[in-house]
Amino acid sequence: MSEGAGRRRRGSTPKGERVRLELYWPDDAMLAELRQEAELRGVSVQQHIRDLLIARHLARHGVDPQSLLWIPTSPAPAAAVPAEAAAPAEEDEATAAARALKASLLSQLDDDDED
Amino acid sequence: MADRASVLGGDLGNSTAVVVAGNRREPRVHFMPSFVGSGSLDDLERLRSGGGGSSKLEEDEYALGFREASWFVGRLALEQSRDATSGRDDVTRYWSGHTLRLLLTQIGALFKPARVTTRIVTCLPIQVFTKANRRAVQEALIGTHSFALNGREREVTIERVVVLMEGAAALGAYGKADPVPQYVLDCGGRTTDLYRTIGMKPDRKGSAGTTVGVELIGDELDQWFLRTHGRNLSRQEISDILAAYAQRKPLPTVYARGKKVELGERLAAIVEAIGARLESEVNKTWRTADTGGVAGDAATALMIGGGAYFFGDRIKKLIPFLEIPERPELANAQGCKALGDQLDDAEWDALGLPGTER
Repeated sequence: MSEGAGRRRRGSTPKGERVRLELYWPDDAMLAELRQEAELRGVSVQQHIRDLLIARHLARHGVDPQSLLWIPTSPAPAAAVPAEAAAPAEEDEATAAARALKASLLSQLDDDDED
Repeated sequence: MADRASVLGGDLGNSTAVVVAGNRREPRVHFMPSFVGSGSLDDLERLRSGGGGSSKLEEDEYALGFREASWFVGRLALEQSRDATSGRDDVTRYWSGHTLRLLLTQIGALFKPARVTTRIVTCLPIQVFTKANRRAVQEALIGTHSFALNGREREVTIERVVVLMEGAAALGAYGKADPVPQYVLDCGGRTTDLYRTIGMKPDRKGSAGTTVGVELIGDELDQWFLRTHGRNLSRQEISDILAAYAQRKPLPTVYARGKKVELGERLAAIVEAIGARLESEVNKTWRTADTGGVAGDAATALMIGGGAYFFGDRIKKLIPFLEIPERPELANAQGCKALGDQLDDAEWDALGLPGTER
């Protein structure tokens, strides 16, 4: 199963309602477009539809719709507000941690003789 | 012109295989059971169409043709292969072909183009993490691999492979950059690694590997089931039971001799007993007078791996400031990916090739 994953923390296992949706469509242009978009994004159609619903929610709460609806064939949205801009400090912390890990690995290259 | 390589983070553990691709804005994750077993797509299609059902593979079913052999991978191996194995207890799985089969399947599932070029950061458990083993992993994975996935011809080129210690990998995503004490409890399928660092530098005295893991729960439940109900649980049943428990869902219905068997009480008792063993190991390794309790000097204390779903609440009582990522089973792969995204070409060359004597 493929899915998106952010850098979030939890205190305990999240609880929530699960809604299962089953759709039947004859092969039409809209479904073909959704399929193509999902393929371009490398996710399943179900995952893509789920992401679109999340994008709708975020758009209604002030995030730029152009950035939310971007797919790999579209031009990059100029100065768009990223959907995950809610935690910039955490992202920076993660980058700093990865850089520190890199520095540590490179410094160990010459004395890497544990075995 | 050479294809631009996609950077991947991978944690191909002995219960679950996780590969992270994409970018910070749109990370993409593929995870599946780390099982591979013999089986061919032709046989499966014949069997299924003969039974009146659809012969089409479902989204998370993988049939791999590689090096003149055919395999089922992930859930399909669990369900359809008589000889499905996760390679557990066999450390050579990381370089003997098992891990490569998992990896090629997951790259094939994540990327649509027929030809893909990648650079990978992956990790090994503490007990296995030696210079020789790291090199063996690099030599096994690097190269151009032609295979068929679900009947479609694919080619994956793996240009570079960086191999980290498992706990260190998670710190690349969830740790602190400063030279402060950091603790990672990585509870996987067969093992739990306790890993302490100062900054990113490993502290061998504060690090240890144990043989407590989530699969022990399944093993003990299976032994109890055999004793009391006269049959073994199948691997698929065990996998479903553990997944349901981890997600706080109702346990699947299991039958023996025509009767439904109630598992909840027994399962809770087993989790409690194994949790106590894990707690004892953590106490033993990380409780010191000069750190004021268990991991008392920690700037970061992190619990990762699928075991966090089973034992996280218990360990949190021991280490109240313990943090558990929302998806603890993804943490190592996320850290591998975060590191890979920071490497330039020269650094990939320095860290990602098996050495000049190659």
